[in-house]
Formats: sequence, C-alpha cells, structure tokens
Amino acid sequence: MMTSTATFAPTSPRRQLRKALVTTSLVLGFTLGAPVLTSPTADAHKGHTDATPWQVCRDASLGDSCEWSNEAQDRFIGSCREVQDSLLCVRNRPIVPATAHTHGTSTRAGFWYGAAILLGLLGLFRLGTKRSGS
Amino acid sequence: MKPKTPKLFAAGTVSVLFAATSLFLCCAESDDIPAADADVESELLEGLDPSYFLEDGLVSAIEEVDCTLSDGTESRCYKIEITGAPSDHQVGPFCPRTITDGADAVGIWLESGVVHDITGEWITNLAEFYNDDNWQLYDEASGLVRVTDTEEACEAAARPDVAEEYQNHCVECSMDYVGGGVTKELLIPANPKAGASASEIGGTESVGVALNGVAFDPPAPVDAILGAYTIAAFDDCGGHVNLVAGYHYHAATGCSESISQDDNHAALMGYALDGYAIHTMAGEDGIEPDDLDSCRGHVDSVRGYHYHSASAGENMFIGCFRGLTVEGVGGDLPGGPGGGDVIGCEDVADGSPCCGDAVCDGPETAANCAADCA
Repeated sequence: MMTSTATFAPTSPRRQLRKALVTTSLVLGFTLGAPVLTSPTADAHKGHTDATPWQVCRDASLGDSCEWSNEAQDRFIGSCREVQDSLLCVRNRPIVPATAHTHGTSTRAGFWYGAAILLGLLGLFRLGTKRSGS
Repeated sequence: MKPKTPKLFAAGTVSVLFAATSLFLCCAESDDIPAADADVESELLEGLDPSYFLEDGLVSAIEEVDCTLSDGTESRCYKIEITGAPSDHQVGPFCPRTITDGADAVGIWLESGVVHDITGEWITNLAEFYNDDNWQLYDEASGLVRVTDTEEACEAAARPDVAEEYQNHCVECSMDYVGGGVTKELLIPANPKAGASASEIGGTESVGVALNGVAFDPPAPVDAILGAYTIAAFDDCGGHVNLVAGYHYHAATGCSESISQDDNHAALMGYALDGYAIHTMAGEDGIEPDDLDSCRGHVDSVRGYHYHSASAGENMFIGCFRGLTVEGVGGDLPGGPGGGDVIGCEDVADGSPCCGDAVCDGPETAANCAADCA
C-alpha cells in the first residue's frame, strides 16, 4: 500500500481534501457499521433478564424513570411510583415487544448498515482501481 | 478521463449517512421521554355513573353523601357498598390438583408481564422457572399438587412468616371462608378533583372498583411470597381470595362487566378511588395509548381525564392517583371491611402486616398501622 501511495501523482490541495473526506467517510461508515454486523442484537438488554418492576426501582427515587425487560426481552418503560410502601416501576409507555426491538429494528438497521458497508466497499474498490490506474 | 473522486466522495458520504440514519433508527426508541402529566384541572367531562354498576354486585343502591377529600375540602361522594363477590362470573378455579391438570382446570399466575396458566406441567417446572431448586409444589410419587385446601391452611400460608408445613404450596382460599364475600364500603368523589400533583397508592388496600362490584387491588412485593415457595394463584379473571379482603382483582383479563365506547376507545371497566374512570388497556384496535402519564392516565375530548389499566401480566391497574381521594386510607371508610372476621393486631407477630385496618398486603409501617397498632 505504501508503494501504491508513493506512485500517486502530485494532486491539488482541493483534491487532497476530497480524498481525505472520502477516506474519513469510509472509515466512519465502517466504524458505525461494523459493531452491528458483528453483534446483530446490540440493542438487546444485557443483564436485565431477571429484573422485576420492583427490583429496578429498589435504589431509585420516587418519579425516577425506569425500565425493565422480561425473559422474552419485552421492554416495560415507565417511572417509579410508591405502591405498598415500596417503589414499583409503573409502565406508562406501550410495551415494546421483543420482536420490535431485537428483531424488527435490528433487521431494519442491519439492512441499512449492510447497504452502507456495501457502498463503502464499492467506494474503496473504485478508489483502489483509480489509484492502480494512476 | 473524468475524475472519479467526486463519485467516491459521494459514495463515502452516502455510506456515512446510511450508517447514521440506521444508528438513529436502531437506538432512537431507547430514549425514555417521560409522558407529560396531563393538565386535568378543567378536563373532566364526566364523573362516576352509578347506573353502570351491576346491581348484583352491590349490597345496596349507590348513595351520594358528604365527604372530605384528602386536601381537606368538603365534597360529595358516592358511597358504594360492594358484596365482595363477582356477579358476572364464577370464582376460581385456582390451583391444579395434579401435575396433569390442563389450562381449563386451573387459574393463572402473573410474572414479569406475562400471564401463565398454572397447569400441572407449569407447576413441575417451577424450579426452572424461578431458577431455584427448592420449588417443589407437588408430590413426586403421587403427582398431587400441594394446595391449601382448608381455611387453616389458607390463613397460615397467607402470613408473612409461613410455617414450614405450608411452604411449597399453591395457595387458594374458598369464598366459603369469607361467608361468600367480604362486603366493603367505598367512598369515591362524585366530581373528581385533580390534585396539585399525583398522589401515591402507598399502602392503600384497593385502588378502585370494577363495575361488577369487585375491588381492584394493587400489587404487592412478591419477595415474601416467593420466599416461602408459595404461589397465591389467581383465577382466569385475575382475582383471588384472602381472608381479610375477600375476592379481589389484581389484573384486568377482560372477565368483568365493561361498557364499550362509541368511538372504539378502550372499554370502561371501573373507577379509581379518586373518581376517574378506569378503561381497559387498549382500544378495539388493540393499540394502547402512548401518551399516558405516570399514573397511567390521560385526557381525551370525549371522556376527559381517565386511566388505562396495565396489562394483565403486570399485576397492576394504575400507578398512582391523579385526583384527590377521600381523606383517610384510600377512601376506605373507618372500621375496615365488614363481613368475615377481621384479624386483629394481636393475631399477628411484630413486623407482620397490620390487619386491623385491612392493610394486610404490605409491610407494617407507622403510616399504615398507626391507628390500630399504636
């Protein structure tokens, strides 16, 4: 790669800026996309599978936001209210079913990430081709 | 040859935009934006309608009486005396008798937002369900499930300090033990008045009443219950019996009387102790409102402020009171429930739930037991 770079013809500052932007764009695209490709359930809840609506508010204060997930990874989002002298996470948002956030959303996000990565690879390939031809 | 760098730049830029958009789509829903508490001061369109209640669920006709609200203001309230027995469905069944009993012969258990049929098979899997090998609610040799099938067993298993012989039992109590139902008087504001802020359910025994005359009770921390390896089974209607409160609901499963709404809004199923209506969780389209406040209420142009019950699996109806309740504990009239024998403080050990005021589901505190345990 170093050899290839060394054979580049001198370029204008504007062109160098464009190259820098291309490189930055590709790097960012890969950086943002790679974690999702390697971990398709990155938005799933880790460590919350055994939490209960009481447990998540145990160390919270009245009115604090709270969220818990059951074994199926359905999400329950609300705030801590006092019930029977203990704080309980009272849901006030529609239940987010596991399929919506661990499958549907991830699948959707995965599609777009995949598209981004493919475009990035295409750009890299075209850049390499151009450099080889220079 | 035409330079390709702009195209490459465009491709790179598009890839970043795609990635950024995807990142937004992926994670935007995790933002916890609390729903704003509704301004309900002038939004009440209708209060409790006595005609919606089933007569058979009431001891006597609903009366309008003077009452004092929790902020000290004098007001008018409905006095509702309930029979304590559902008039539109049977009570039970609750526990399976054998490990082969199917869903038709048993009730339900509510855990982590999910409704579980307490089938015999489910009973045999409790150790795995709770990840604790001490769960053993059945006799392996005979396949019989251990059920509290006497009044003594029912009472013993309901205590916080469950005796060893009643641990690892499926707990159920017969309506016969409470004389067919624990009658109870409730005072509910005739014209609900929003509080300056929401008030907590706290140690309130009930949060409201169904149109069939059964009380809606709040959930209780289950640590003590599960610590004794007991399952206080519910019937398919989300209710169960204890010796103090009688039959009461912990979940809305769609069994009880409800009033459908002309606009396909969720049906009216009862009223909270602050007088605001409680509707089922979702409308006929199956969609739950997404603008509920922390009490699980909101305002619309037809009904004004009203609550939506939580799902059955959550063991809950509402989260707090947006309106003022009657002065005292949760709108209950002094003297506790009528009918049946009320357990006195002398009957329970120190640190046990105080029962003289019918507050038996939570830990004993100065707040809920000061009057009768001083």
